[in-house]
Amino acid sequence: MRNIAFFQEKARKVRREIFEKYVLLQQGHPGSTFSMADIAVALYYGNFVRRDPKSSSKFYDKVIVSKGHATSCIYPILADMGVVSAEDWQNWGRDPSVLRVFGNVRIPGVDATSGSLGHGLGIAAGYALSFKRRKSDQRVFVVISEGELYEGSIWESLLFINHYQLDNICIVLDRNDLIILGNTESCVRLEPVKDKIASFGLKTFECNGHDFGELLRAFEQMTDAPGPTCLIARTVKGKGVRMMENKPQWHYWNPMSEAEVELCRKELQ
Amino acid sequence: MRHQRDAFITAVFEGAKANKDIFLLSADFGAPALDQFRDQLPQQFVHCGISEQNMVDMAAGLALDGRQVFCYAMAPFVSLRCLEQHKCAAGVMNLPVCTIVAGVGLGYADAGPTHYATEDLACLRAIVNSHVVTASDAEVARLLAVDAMSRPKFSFVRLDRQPCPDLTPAIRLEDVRRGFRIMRRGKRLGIVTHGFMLGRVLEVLEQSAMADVAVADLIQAKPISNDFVDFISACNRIVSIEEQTPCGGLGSAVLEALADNGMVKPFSRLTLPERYFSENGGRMKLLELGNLAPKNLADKINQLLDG
Repeated sequence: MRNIAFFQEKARKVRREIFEKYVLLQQGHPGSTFSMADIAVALYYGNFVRRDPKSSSKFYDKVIVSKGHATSCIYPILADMGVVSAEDWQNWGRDPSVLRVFGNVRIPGVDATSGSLGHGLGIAAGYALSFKRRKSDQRVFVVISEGELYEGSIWESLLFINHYQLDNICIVLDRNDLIILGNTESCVRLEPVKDKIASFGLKTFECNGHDFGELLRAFEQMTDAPGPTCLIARTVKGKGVRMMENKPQWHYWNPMSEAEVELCRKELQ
Repeated sequence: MRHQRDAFITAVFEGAKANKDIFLLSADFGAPALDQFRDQLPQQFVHCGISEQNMVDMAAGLALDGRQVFCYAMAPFVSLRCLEQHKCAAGVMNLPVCTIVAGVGLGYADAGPTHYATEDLACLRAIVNSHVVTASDAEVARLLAVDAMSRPKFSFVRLDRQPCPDLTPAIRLEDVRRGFRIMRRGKRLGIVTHGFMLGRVLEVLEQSAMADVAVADLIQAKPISNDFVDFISACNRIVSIEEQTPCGGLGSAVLEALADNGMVKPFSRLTLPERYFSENGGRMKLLELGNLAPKNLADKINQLLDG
């Protein structure tokens, strides 16, 4: 097993690289991307998302970033693993590239087009049901945001996932507490989230979404569990850059001075 | 008299026996043919609960794994309630998800306006990549299923609720593939209609001495085929007749075809009015209230022929 320092260094690299792309593009969703960066690093570099034995440029398991505005979080990882080409990664923001801020299925390694909230979980359920009926042991990892919990479709999907006992689905809820207008509990209350999801019959886990020891342990337990699972990963929106942390306005990119850019770079080293 | 839904689903059942990648999903909507399917092919059937949104998203996931998926539910709900799922899941990724929209128009007349599918054609036509077809009899429905399985695509198949006789001339697969069939030939007036209203139009014409009137069963309202453009170009004037509200339906589709092909000719349309009906009395009564009863059709056609 890789040590924690390995994952921490990968996570720093992911944040650094995606930050530079956002600076170049002058757009992106750094708050949400940095919030789930450690989750993505743990999933991929922890080998929970298994490579396709028939093709080194593909994965055997599926990953859906249902919070589509944060899909770019996985691009540096996909490029590092050779799934997204070095050319596409280098060109993004400068020259023609398949990459976009929001993910779509034309991008290698992106298993569903996402953007509008509340669709990814249902799509994941379709993949998972198909795998089970093929008697395939493929898994689906789906990262959802707490903002998506306001969409009724999510709860329809949870009902379905439990009824069909889709034990090949691992849901990761990136719970950073913030939606665009503020804290979820003062906007429209979501808590107790864990109880609500558990009441639908899913085995729920909870961890610090920036602690690799906890994330890796949770993913091991989830992939071994007999039924569908959901991890509530407690995260910080904008994690890794102080001027963005817990700041709802950094859901979107904001204009930054050169000094601010340099400060962010320093913090991301 | 046959039910369109049973003709369609029976054809899908036959196809699914040979193709294990064909899946049929239902949001708690039934049919005798569906009972046969779920009894004999349980591994290819999925009960989704009364959850149209999840059904369509889930259908997209199945399609992404290589399945050919049919979603089945009551027309008003499987069209509009999950409209964004059609767009964002199936449409944006252009996946082979075929939604069976059962009970279009005023088919659920006794249930009231929540159960009418009188805006669905406009909404579904507007989604990029969509193919939208309407059955006017059970044989059309059967052939639409055959075509859907042989050419999987993102599509909506609009079926009527009531059993109906097969219309003459009998539909052929080639008609389905070019998107329309010609029921009568003529030049003075071209009537473009489909679904339940086609039968009503033919009844009116059979009981009158109207001559030189062409009738097209516009099965595929999107995309419009070049052959259909040729059909309307050969008519001196056109009237469209539909069981939908005024905005964006069949009449709009015909107008778009005229405009896109630089054709200027007299055009009229008969639609439901811009209101919901809560009155009792059944479908024909509501059509009467909406000025789409046989008498209204006859009057309008005569007026156009005299004009």
